[in-house]
Amino acid sequence: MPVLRRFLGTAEGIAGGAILLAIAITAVLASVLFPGDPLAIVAEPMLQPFQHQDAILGTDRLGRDVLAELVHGARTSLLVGLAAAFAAIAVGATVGTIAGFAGGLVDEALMRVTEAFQTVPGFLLALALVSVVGPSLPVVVTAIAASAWTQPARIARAEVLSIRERDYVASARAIGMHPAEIAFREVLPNALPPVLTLASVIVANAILIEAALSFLGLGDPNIVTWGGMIAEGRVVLRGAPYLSIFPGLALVATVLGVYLTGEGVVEALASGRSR
Amino acid sequence: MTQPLLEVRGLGKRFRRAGSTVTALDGINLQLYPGETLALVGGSGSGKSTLARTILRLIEPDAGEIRFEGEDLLAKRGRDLRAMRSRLQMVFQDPHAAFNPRATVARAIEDPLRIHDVVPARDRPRRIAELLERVGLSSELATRNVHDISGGQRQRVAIARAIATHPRLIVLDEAVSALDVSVRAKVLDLLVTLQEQEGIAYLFVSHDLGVVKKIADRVAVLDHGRIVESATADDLIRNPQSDAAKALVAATPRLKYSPEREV
Ligand SMILES: Nc1ncnc2c1ncn2[C@@H]1O[C@H](COP(=O)(O)OP(=O)(O)OP(=O)(O)O)[C@@H](O)[C@H]1O
Ligand SMILES: [Mg+2]
Repeated sequence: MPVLRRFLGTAEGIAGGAILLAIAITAVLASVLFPGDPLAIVAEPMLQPFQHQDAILGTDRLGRDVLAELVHGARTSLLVGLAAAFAAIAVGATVGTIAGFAGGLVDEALMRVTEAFQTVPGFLLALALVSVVGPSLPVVVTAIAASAWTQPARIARAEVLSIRERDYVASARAIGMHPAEIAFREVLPNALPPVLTLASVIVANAILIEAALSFLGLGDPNIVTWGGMIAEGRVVLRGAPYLSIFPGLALVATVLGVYLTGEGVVEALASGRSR
Repeated sequence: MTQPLLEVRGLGKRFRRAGSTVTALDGINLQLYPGETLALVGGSGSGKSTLARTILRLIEPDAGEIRFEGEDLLAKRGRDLRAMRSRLQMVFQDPHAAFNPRATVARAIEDPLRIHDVVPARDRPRRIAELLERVGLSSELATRNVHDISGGQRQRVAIARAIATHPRLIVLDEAVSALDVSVRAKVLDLLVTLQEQEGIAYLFVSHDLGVVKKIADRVAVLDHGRIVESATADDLIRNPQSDAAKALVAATPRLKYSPEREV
């Protein structure tokens, strides 16, 4: 895998990859490291961090283990980030491909819809959707994806507009291939690479939007989230700042890890192409 | 006299670009009979590719009529049009650009077999191997990516893809221009052999009279979107009438000095 080697040759790739890998392993092993409900009360409330063996990072106002919450929160953040980005790219690439390939009125209509979505700030759209439908993980993911698919759609469309003029598309038409098959089997896979370079930004954004929604109390109430922890800690910010600082740091580290990984991938692919 | 396989009447096409219009095709008439090779020659920009692609319904003309197997080709839409395409195929100039960068050799040849249901799915691998052998390639090539084989091999794969559905007409747009001289001669031989075996008609687009002489029965000379001259290959080379034909003959010096030499 020359791309992987080039990826690990970049500073961004090493740093981002290491951070992300650590967080991902933590998230995957969450229920092994901390079996049971992370929202269960395990000790006295408001224990200071680094002083008690069974709650290394201390406990919150209700006596829940902060470290257990953090580890389980990593799972939520990554899950929401990846699911929302996947949905946004899938929807965006499909819409962009149909618009670019069909052209004419279909293109006009789809692009107007895309623009309409784009004029609403993404966070407000997500906020509105979750407030209306009610907070649950699938709704949060859908809401974030609904605000993030427009950029992939525009990039996919631009790419498709150039690809559909290529000879291999003419050749597919000449053998009698159905237009839908041409669009999704011949054109779309070749339009994807530039769309995928957006993935890291979308994932990072989705993680932040999820945290913001949870901070406002619009996250899934049955699941630990870093945003929810920060909101909890805010109430006692003076006495126990660590309750907000730890999830805040986790959030920053994750977003940074995702972003750096994305940069590393783009750089690795670019240096591969210029060779 | 038999009915023409392809009959083009009064075909016209204009391109509008950045305010100006280019007349790419201007009242084209031509006829092509089963099993025959008609060469279409002309300088750069004379409209050869536009004509080829219009006949394939890849470009829509503004005026005129195309009849294929006696049917009105321009009236066909959707499913009808796609079904008709099994009998009317094309080979493109640049074999690199004409294949999806992700395609394997097997997939490139399987597509027409699958789309037109030429053989049942379980027999396709065998048919792909047969087609590869017919165009002079090893069936071991099937798993390779089309972009990982040589230009000559790739053009043979394009020919295998074109003949997979037993077409009656193949339009070849500068199909051998991108190939080395030695490879070109072999591919031309292959085309001649296939024509003898299957009775396929060719519309052979080229700007190289040396190549045309070797494969074509008749030649039509295109200039600024019009057919300005039509003759047998030998007559055209010996006695060109139009300015366009004279320029083409002059541009192919080996014809002048040794007219009998094979290319
Ligand atoms: N899609 C298009 N848009 C605008 N103009 C076009 C288009 N395709 C072809 N033309 C113009 O139509 C004319 C004929 O082009 P065409 O490609 O058919 O020529 P050609 O004989 O195949 O030339 P060549 O030998 O260079 O391939 C040219 O003037 C060309 O610029
Ligand atoms: Mg051309």
